[in-house]
Amino acid sequence: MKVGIGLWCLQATATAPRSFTQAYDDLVADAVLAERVGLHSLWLSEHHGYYDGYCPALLPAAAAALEATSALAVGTGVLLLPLQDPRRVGQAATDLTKRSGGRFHLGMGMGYRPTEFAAKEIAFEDRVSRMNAGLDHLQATRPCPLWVGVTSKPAARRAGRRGLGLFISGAFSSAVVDELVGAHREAWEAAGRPGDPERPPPVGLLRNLWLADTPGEQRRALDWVRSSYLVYAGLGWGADDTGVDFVAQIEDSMDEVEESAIVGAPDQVIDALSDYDVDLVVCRIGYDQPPRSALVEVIERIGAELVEPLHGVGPAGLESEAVR
Amino acid sequence: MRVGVDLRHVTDPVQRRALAVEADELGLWAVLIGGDGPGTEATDAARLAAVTRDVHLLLWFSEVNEHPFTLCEEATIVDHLSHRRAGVVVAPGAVTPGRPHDAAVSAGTSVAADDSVAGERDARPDDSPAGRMRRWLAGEIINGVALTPPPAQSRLPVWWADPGDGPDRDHSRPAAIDAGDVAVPELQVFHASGDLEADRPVIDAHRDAGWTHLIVRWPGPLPVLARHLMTRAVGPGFPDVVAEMADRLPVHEQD
Repeated sequence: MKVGIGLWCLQATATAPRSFTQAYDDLVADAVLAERVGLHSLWLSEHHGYYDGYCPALLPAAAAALEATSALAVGTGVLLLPLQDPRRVGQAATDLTKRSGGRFHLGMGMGYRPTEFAAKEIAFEDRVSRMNAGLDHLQATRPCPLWVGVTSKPAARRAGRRGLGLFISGAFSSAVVDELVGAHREAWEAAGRPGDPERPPPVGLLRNLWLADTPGEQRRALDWVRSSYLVYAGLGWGADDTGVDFVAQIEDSMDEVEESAIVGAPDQVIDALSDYDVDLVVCRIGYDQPPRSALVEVIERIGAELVEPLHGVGPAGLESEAVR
Repeated sequence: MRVGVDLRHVTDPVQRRALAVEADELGLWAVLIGGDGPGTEATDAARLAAVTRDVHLLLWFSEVNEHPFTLCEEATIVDHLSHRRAGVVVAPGAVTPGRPHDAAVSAGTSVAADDSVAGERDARPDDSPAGRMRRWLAGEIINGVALTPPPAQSRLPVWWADPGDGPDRDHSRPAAIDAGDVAVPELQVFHASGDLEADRPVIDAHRDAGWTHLIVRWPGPLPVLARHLMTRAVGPGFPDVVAEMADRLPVHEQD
């Protein structure tokens, strides 16, 4: 199992206002640090028109992180494909791949905020067809390793049928993750094993996570995890017609996020991650509340205390995809 | 008048990077990039931001299929990565199909006045795709849609590229003047010959006609451009003899 970190969203939130330019400086510094401590990858995330400046253009941000490093992979977790011209995305991905020695990974999702589609004058109802058309184009050109962000079994099946990597972004239990992985794998088999027939497409798992040794440190980390959900609840509050009452569900959602978070000493975290049959775990540590010193410390600890013990855990399908 | 250099035709990324670094060190105002095609303007600029300090990074958008809001988003990220050095040049005809477009605007001949230059605002907002780019990058909220994060600069500059981008252009009469004495921030690319005797008068004509910025496609070494043409562009009265004598001074390699 490879170990990466995410999600870098480059925000200046109401919880933790900061300079946007500083956020982009920090991204580059964090990429350099992640590489130095031996992490596989750093993953970015995208939204549009949100008050906190949530990064709306991942490809130039990825270019900056790749330029500053020589071994670290940089991925989008995820880029909202229906909101962009896939030919343009494909050309940028090709550029990033060529210039980085194959270290760019393109994770794609559909988007769920109608306001983001409205800003770009795209009909929300067209998002599925635009996603499929975009994937068709990118599959045909294969500019880099391709992943699809999913939160449901039908979406996992769609990724499997295409032979694309699975990027599981929800705060799911290992049982739900197993179901998604199973659906992905079965669909891949049923479709005749598209891609490399010897290896199923890789599975990546985003997981709220923090290394903390004492009960007090663990409580503090869990509070950061809870508060980070405000960002996503806010994104939902700002969107119409998502079908979710974010206000009514905020406390329950925070409880769920806390419950699914993996926070503890290294051995506890390794035990918990060993339950997952995935190729890559993306440790979700890019919260807005922790002080910079705590973020730097946890990146160093993940590199020093998780990478080696997790090596050899899981199916390691990422190897074939990443070196392609 | 400030002078930048056109790097769109430099297809080797290693050479392009070296030239951008050299332009930065020589004090040229900007490099114009985006020649690798749609989608690569911002990724290339992001990389160059990391290896340069002062030179402005102008993104040449010749896009025909992407929404202008997306192009603004890419430019604003480059502005943060570069610490306030991003600029946008919109190519003639760069529009999004199916959306309102005023051909005259993309041709750069009747654009709305830019209040940062002209000191007054046109009463009619420019709703062309390129016009909306300028408005978003200046911080305006259009139909409830705001660009976030905003650029690091107070307003990120947007130029319409001159459609007469070629060696036959009459450089003595900028289109901005033709448009009615409004200082339209149109940007022109001068294809220099590399022959200083021929190129000097063209630089002078632009400077004396009131151009504020000029991009030069330069076929020779950048230090020659910087010594002989960038210097004379600053203002009238440049002593050619200084540049010519400087060419004859012995050059000592730095340690």
